[in-house]
Amino acid sequence: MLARNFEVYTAESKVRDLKSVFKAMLSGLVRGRYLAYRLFIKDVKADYSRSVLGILWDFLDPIVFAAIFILLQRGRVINSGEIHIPYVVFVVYGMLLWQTFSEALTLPLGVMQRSKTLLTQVKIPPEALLLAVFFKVLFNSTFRIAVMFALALFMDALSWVGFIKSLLLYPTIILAGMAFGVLLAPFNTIYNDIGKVVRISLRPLLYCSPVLYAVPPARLLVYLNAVNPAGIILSNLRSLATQNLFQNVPAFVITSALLLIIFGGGWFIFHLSIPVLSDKI
Amino acid sequence: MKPVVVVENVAKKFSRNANVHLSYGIWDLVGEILGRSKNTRLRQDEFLAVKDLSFTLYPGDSFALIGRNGCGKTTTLKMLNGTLKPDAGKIITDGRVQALIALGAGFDPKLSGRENIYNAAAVLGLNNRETRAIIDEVIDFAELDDFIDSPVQTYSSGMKARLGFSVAVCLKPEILLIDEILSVGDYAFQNKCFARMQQLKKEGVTIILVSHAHTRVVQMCEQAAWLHHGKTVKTGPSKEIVEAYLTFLDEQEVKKMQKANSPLEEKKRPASQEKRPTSTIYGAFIYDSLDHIDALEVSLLVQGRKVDAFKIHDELVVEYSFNLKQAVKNLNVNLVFYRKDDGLHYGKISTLNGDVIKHIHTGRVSCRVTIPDFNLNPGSYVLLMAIFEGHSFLYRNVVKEFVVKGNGNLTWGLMGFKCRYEVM
Repeated sequence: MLARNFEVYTAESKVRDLKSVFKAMLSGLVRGRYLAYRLFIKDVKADYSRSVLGILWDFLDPIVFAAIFILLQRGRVINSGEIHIPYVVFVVYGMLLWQTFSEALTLPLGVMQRSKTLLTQVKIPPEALLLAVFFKVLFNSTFRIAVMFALALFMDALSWVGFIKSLLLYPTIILAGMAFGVLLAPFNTIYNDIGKVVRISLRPLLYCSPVLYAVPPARLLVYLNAVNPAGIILSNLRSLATQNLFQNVPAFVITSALLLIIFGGGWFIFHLSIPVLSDKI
Repeated sequence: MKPVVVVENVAKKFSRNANVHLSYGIWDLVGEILGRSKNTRLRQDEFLAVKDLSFTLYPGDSFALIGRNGCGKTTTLKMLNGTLKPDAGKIITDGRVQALIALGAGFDPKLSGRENIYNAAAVLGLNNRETRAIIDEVIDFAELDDFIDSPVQTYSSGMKARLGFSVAVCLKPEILLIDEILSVGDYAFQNKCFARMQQLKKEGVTIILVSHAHTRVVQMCEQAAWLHHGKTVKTGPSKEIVEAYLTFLDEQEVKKMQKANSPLEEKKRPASQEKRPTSTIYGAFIYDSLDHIDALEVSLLVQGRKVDAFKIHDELVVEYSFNLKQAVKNLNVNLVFYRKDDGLHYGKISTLNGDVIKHIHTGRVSCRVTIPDFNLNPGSYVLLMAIFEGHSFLYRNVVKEFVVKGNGNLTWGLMGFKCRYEVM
């Protein structure tokens, strides 16, 4: 039944006992697994309860968007630059990976508000909320991955080995989004402006990232892309899946490591913030 | 014995206008990250919702928090539950804590009752296997067998309450926190919940109850604390605390009335007889304390046999007796009939008509009341008995529930007239 608990609640900051915080974070991850699964199932059922096409809508959007770019390129309205795979594959992969990044960034931002009833009435491991977000992004990703696989196969641009490698490294694109999403989530709970700024920034960031263009059309974008973690992860995963080659191994490794550190910091703050902010949600 | 709940000088502050002072949240969060302790220094628009609260509870103890809305009861439960961080003091809980702060926290209206049981159980810390082990018990206790696979959005609030309570009590907690959640649900289910809580108490579960149903508080809890504007006014035996609190409420009420409609006639009641207003559908309030009377017995008889059901137009005899625990000067008894479901008041038989028992001052009171033609139409009814001296109640509660059956004739409306029909 319920876990046996010996709890001490004081006004003192939990940071004074870091070991206990890390222990609670890890145990929250283990204890919160089933709750996270239930929250995820609840979310999915609620999302698609009144929709005939259900999940199809989730990936029709990027496909339609990508189709527009394909038409623009065929009509020579835009120049895709030099790429070694069909532009259709390039742009669809880019869009779907970008959508995963964008979802992993925005979903955690509002997770506290969405779980307000729970957080204000029941003590739950904060990690359950993060895991539920991760499950949701992963679930939505499966359909995107299916589209990517089918398209590459159809266009004869599939590298089996590379695709499997990219699947194994797929969580890095989720990490790229969640690292910043989780870090900003507690602050967005207080100031919703943060979430709005993030959402508005995503569209220009899409055009600045190597999603639609292989070679950035402006010099400034070249510099920006060199430090754009989402862009670095995305372009490496795409080239790995289609050509079985890393675009830039050191950049990929360093970026992933930095993202992991940012995520760790965000998780730490998220864990601490729940009892402090539960009356302010 | 080792205590299971220790609350030491706990305080909690809130902002009256949290939306204006968003920065407080940021500073609190940054302070937590930087390792700064919280404090009770009040910033602009802040107030102490709980101040200097202390109590200690042992296994099997039951403790009530009473007071007006906004006095800090729920805040205290939330701190005990770990959902709110105190701004001062220390709280220790040693045992599996189960909070019923909101029935059905985590219920999704679109999902079925069964799916929501899994969700609620997960929220409370159970995994799939553990939930499967209790799900039949939960459904059985909630009495929702026929609706368990229907979406929760089709449930009444009472049904939701039954479902939530059932999940919670089936988890076998060691410390149970209950926040005024039994005000929903029908009377029978409320009784069932209280019976289950009594059982948990006997099994050594420590219960902390927040309630405005003061008779329940006295029945359920040995100890209580009366909070007012976050401050503990009094802690002690629940009966004493409830009486003190109700006296205070009465005084407040009188003050309000005096202010609104002066001059008001001063109503003086014996000190031990202040109103204990637990609102019910059967009149003003229920006063079921046995402070002034005991050994109350009430019987309904038809043709000399005790009955709980009889036919319309039967001759009904109501026999009652009770002991007076104190001398009285102006004793009266009212027998009041109400429709069970909605509390429709049908009528009253009072000893005031004829001063039937005015001469009785002490000892046992025994009476028989005969109603030659009981003409309420078929249905379920309750008999409420009010015993009072002068204008002060010694007792007022439902003493019998009974059913009037049809006698073969069709009936309409509220009453059946016994009549003789002649064609001229």
